[in-house]
Amino acid sequence: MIISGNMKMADVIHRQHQIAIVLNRFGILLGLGDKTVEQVCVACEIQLDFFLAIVNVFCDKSYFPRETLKNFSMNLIIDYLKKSHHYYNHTKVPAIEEMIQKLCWKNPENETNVVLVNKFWLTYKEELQTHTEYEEQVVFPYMLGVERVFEGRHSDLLPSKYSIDVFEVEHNDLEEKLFDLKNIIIKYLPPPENFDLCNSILFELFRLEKDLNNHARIEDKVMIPKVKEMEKTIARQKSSKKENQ
Amino acid sequence: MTRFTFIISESSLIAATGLATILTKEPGFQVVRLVSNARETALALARNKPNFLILNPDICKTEKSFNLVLSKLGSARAIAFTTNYEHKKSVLDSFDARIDFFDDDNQIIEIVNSVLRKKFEQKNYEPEKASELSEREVSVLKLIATGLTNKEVGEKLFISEHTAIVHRKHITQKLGIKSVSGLTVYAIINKLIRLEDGLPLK
Ligand SMILES: [Fe+2]
Ligand SMILES: [Fe+2]
Repeated sequence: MIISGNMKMADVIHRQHQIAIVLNRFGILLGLGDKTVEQVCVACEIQLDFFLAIVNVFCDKSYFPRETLKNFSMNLIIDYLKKSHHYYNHTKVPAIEEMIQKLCWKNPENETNVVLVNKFWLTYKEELQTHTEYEEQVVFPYMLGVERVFEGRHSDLLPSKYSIDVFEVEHNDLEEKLFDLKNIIIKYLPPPENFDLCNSILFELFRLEKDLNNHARIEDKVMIPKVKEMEKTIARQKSSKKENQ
Repeated sequence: MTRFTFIISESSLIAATGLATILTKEPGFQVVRLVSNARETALALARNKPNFLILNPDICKTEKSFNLVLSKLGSARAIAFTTNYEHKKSVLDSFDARIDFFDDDNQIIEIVNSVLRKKFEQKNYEPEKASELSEREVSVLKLIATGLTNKEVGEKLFISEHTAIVHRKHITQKLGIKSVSGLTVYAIINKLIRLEDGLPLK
């Protein structure tokens, strides 16, 4: 199903409940009545095309916003990505961490498990932080620089030798350790005392994994292609300038 | 119909195009990119996330660039495309299968299909199979879990870095754990190493 502007927002959520997380990031609150997607976007001052691109990439792995991509400003994309980073670092991670800290085993021999799982989670938390910080402090500023040159607001060369290709290769996936943690819990740890809690942790890990997956897809399918296109145009302009000289 | 996507990584355009023609004749097979060096291959793997990479190992000029490609494989299956006979066994061991320059079209399709069959068999049987690590794998795992790199593991056990990588790939497949810290946790839980010997999990 491709989500379009004239669908009722409420129906969209009924069909794809994960979109509720995305609404939050756009500052859309529930209590939507019978408003269409377009009406909601207008009311919240959100660019409709951008909203549709995000929710469709989110729901459909093969979706690519070919026609509308050029209309999105970098700020719009960055703002959305930053909001999701914030959600991971400041909402999801602390919530899961709190649950992990409560895991316990009856047998004192299993004391190391508590230590291990906690430590593992800490390394993951750091990895997530480093990943998002790098994007916010290196990649996003670079993209804004490209956009400035592209729009002719800045006649200089690109900010550095960096190019989005470098990022594309380096961009590692954040799901790997989550996957490992799930398997450690499912397969290798002795069952903890509070197994309901353990299940909740598992559910949260599955959910976070999926959300991160969608997030990375937005970076790979919306952000990177957009920057690439601008880089190409800039390079073309530069070489035609040289020819004219 | 299930679709399978391919990236072909080969420096001769004629060979690459020929291979692509043969593959796309098979219903459901789709060649999404032709690339000609290691860097492009890594990029294409990151971007297209194909089901298969068909790679001529010769295009990787250095061991480092070969390892870069391997590290970007993700869930893609790697098939070697060889145009000469001078490949180290350790290099070929990193692949799931091998297509030779002189193979005919039926042979080529059969090689790809055999990898596909293997893949699905693994998927179906994985939950049943107890993941018994071999003795060698256990010793590799112990070293990885204490924080050694593939190269250092190779040096310690007198095997090549490639062989170490292959062992590691098998360990990961059997245990369902990919990251070093995950392997460390596994090794400690199973008392293969002590908590204090483990890679400092910070
Ligand atoms: Fe991100
Ligand atoms: Fe990212």
